[in-house]
Amino acid sequence: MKQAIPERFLISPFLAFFVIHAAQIGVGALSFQRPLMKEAGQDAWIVVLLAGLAAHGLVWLMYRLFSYSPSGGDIVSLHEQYFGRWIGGVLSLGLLFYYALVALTVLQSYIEIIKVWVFPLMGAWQFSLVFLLLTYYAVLGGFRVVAGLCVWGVVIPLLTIFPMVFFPLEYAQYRNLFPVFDHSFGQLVKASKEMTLQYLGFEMLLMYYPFLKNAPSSQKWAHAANAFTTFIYLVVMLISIVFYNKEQIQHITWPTLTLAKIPEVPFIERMEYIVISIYVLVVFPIITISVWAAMRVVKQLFAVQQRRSLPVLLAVLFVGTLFVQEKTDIDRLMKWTAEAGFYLAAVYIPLLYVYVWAAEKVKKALQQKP
Amino acid sequence: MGLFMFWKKKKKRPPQRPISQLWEKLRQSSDFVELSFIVGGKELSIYYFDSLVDPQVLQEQILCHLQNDIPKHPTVRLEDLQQIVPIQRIEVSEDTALIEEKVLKGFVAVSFREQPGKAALMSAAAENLGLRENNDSENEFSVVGPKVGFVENVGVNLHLIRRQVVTPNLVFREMSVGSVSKTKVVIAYIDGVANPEVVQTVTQRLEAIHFDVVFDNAILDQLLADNSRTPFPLFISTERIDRAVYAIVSGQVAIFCDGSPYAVIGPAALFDFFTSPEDYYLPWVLGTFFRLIRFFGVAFSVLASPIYVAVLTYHYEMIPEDLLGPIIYSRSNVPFPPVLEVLFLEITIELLREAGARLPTKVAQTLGIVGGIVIGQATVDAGLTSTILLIVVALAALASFTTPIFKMSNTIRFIRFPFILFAAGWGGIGIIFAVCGLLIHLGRLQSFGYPYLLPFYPLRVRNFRDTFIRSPYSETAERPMFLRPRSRFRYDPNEAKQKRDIDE
Amino acid sequence: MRRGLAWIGALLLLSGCASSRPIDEIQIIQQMGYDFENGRYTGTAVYPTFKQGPMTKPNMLTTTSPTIYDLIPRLSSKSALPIEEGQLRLILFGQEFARRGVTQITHSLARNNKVGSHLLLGVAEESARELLKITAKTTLSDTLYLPNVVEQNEQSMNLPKTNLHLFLYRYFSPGSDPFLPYFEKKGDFVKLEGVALFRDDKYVGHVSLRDSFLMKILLGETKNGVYQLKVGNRGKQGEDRVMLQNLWAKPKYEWKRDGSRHALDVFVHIHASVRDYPSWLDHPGDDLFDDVKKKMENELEHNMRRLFRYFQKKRIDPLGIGDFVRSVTRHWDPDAFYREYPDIDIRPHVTVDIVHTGIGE
Repeated sequence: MKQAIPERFLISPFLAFFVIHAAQIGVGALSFQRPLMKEAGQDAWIVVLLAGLAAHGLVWLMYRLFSYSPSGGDIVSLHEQYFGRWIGGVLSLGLLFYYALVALTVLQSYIEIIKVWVFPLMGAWQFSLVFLLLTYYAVLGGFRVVAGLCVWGVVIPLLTIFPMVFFPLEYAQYRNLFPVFDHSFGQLVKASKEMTLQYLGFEMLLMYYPFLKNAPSSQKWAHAANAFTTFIYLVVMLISIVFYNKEQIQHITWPTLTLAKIPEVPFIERMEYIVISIYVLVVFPIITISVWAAMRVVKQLFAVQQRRSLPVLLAVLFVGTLFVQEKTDIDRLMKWTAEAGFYLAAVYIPLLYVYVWAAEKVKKALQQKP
Repeated sequence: MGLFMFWKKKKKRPPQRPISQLWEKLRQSSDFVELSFIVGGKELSIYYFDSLVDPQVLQEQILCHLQNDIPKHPTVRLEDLQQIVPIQRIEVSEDTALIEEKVLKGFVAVSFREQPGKAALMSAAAENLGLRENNDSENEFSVVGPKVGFVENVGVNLHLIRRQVVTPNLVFREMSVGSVSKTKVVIAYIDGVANPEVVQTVTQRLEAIHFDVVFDNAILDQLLADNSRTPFPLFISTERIDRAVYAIVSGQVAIFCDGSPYAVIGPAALFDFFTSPEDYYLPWVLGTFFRLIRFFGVAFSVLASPIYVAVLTYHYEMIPEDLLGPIIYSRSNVPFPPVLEVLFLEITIELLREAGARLPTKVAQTLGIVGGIVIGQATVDAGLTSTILLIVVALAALASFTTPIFKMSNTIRFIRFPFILFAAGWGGIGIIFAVCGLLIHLGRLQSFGYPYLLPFYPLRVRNFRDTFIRSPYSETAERPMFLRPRSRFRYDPNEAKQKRDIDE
Repeated sequence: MRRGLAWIGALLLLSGCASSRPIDEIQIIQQMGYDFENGRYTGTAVYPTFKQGPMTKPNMLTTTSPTIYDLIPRLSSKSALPIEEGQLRLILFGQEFARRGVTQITHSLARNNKVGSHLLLGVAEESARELLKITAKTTLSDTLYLPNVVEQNEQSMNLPKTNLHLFLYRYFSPGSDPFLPYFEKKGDFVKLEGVALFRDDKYVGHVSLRDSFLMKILLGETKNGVYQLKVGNRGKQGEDRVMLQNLWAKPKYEWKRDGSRHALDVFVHIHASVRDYPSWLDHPGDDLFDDVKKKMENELEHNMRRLFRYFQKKRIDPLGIGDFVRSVTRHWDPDAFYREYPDIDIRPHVTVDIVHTGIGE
């Protein structure tokens, strides 16, 4: 069995709130309105709530799952315990690829925004290089530093970007919200799959669960984080519904950024540039935490020093950003990640839970028999 | 292994030299004095450094009593000298190394012929010779509050602390650091308040220091630091008594060092560097206001010129129409890109500051005015910089001086430069890249093992009462919990909180 | 390692400078005009030059091209510095251009991240180039004369609020049509004449500034605007009119089925102050005052009905009635609605509350 993690590397349970919330809100928050309103029109806000509820269920399931895990283990040790070294190892390896894919997707889609909005002439490699160097520096600091970054990545944007979202209410057409429930429940459920990528991020918990001090008590914070994510998406969605109409939003790639064109103060105009800049702080925690999680999988699986494997993974990501440049490629990448995340969070984890639950039942029955 | 141990042992304990050899060595200096005389049938020798002893003490307390009183006690031994000589703590030793150290520190060694190899050591050091009597704490000035600061004499400093912290729990632990200077270093803390882990860490680190001369506490500061590759000061160094006492009372540890008018206080968090004692002397509303102004000053000082570079180089869209004219007009004759323009001015201001700090006060003032006004005006007239930038840079420099601790204000002026370069590279995004890097760096820093960003990360919401805002005293009875003090309250919170109803 | 980092840093800095555009090395255009003349498109850019002082005369660049997209590249060939449109404040369409449709420009603006949402659009009675030339010639201190005229009139007078966002909103919405401020050339001056109306993307006509007061109220903008009303028949010119200033107004729409066809009831409640009124109203009895109020309401209702009929006849919906109907109908069908639109019975009901009449008695 792997030894427990020393206490000075652990974080308080309530920090799970920041880590989960920071990992959930990402580049998707700039553009999620478009596909949603295409499917569900003015009822898109209901979809946000539905998807939020589903995410709550999955978070709950993950905590249930860990209640079966050997004291303070992460998913890798869980896999090993229930599937043995080889099958479990393969499953964990899949997780490693998933985490790396998340990092690549987030990095690449943010760089795309930078290129479209601010620096069309600049090479994408510069940004990915700076990002990955910073990631290197952060991940070297360990999970505490990564979690600290998540705190800043929640607090600073919340104080700077979030208030800007309310300025467009000057142009609000509240009648856009009506009629409510103009779409069938089936349509709403179908649309809520579009929200997958937006709520994903809590599955990082699978890796850092043992890093939470008194981990089971962090469950309420995890739910609070998910609720807060839902709240933010809901606010942004409602404001987008009253600010745009259904047809107009189909012509706007990043509706949230276009919202930010509205606020003006006497000495600064065009807040979208500020939003894009500060968004580095939103995106960066996701990249670091997924890189950290991937590194953790490697360490648990192969007992390789993280100091060694980290540069390798970062180099792979860097090369990855060089190859995925076209918009269609990036869209495909995002779609893959959303699919992978969907199957991981909404299909694999429930199945795993059922398996583990059944295995425990069988084990208990066998123990009682003789 | 055994051989190795033997070696080590041998190195650690050099063979005891006879005392005569020591005197022989010391005689090389012309200020070493050796007096031998016979009094009351006893042959005694007195050794001391003329330059280190206070002649009055030597004559009135030592010589006088030795000469007058020894004949009355014919059987006196070195150990009994305490009965005769009115000098505190007379120590008798055979250890040549100790005798050497003490004599070199201004002690007088007395030896009897009949007790060879032994010496009685009496302190007659001229402690204040050549040192300042007082210090007006000019480098950390505050308008309200006491003006007395620490001086170069550690004894005086301990006295100043002891006068305000009247509790038997105040502990001074003395150590000696420096292979040549043998500097007296004192750790001060309140037992039962300061976390013993911290005290232990400090002691261990001080013991582990290998250095020759400790000129100042600032050197200790660097030798003690958890991370030597950071521009940020990891400990507060202060010459103000109130700040040191406040730190000790809240559970921090202060380190004093002989010859330095500064106390080093740790573990320190980033936000400790932006509080000024004056915040506590003004009513809390004003204290909070000025503290917020200071934080704004820091943010402005770090970000103003990078934002100027970013906006003018990349984000012209963000300029409102009313500012567009003045900005373009003032820049129209400047031959450089905005980065070079900013670097040029920033470096000019740094030069002015540095020159001002090196020159005598009266010249420095003139230089500041001449340099500031004349050079500023001339560069604008010559079209080397724009007027708007001149305002921005001057304000940023001004804002950086509002930080009460000198080391931190240096740091703030320094970190502006990477920000400017990042802004020149990637505009606003570059600035946030730099902010990210800064946050990671700060997140990784530790001060005596405590995270540097406390109480913000790890988040301790309850301790926010004395960070951005300076809450009234009824709210601040609790010690900052992030220092993990052994006792929780500074004073009774209930008494402080009591509220009376109207007309009662 | 450290040397490698230094190299990377230097490389990054060098490559970073490549895409910089320092503010004094670009040609910022603030106003743009589009015309269609003799089968060719004309583009006019107005740019300020601040080199001699913060306030100087704006300059103009004009070019023609057979296509619209080609205009800005062609302008560049006449400019010493690269043209940047990030500070664009006004786009003016010539009437002929607007008549042929503004779809291309609209879509290009919707995609363009460089322009702000507060960009103003407008229609010139004849040629946009002529109008911009006048403003460039006559104004010395103010390079943004036209945008300021529009903003001023939106904030305190009769013009309903317009900007790029609102234009795109109404343009893309199936339940409304866009409108823009309408300028005319009066000798050597430019005058705001009213509101230019579009059907989808094509200019179809305009209403006067007086009628735009009604539009402003019906659009739900609660404040500002003045309206002159005739309240009596007392002979002399000017002796029978009052000047109404809108302090607060709110429209309320009700969508009803009335037999075979639909009807729309529009309730408008105006709190107004009477700024100027004829002397015979100085000592009004209660009856007289109520009578005057009644007359005001009637005239407002009449004018609104006329305005609605004009919109219906032109088959345009600048007030967003379709949008309103959508919000109260499940599965709204825009095509069916607009087929019925000209025949909808629209019935305005106006209530006027006179809040005060100034400080004199």
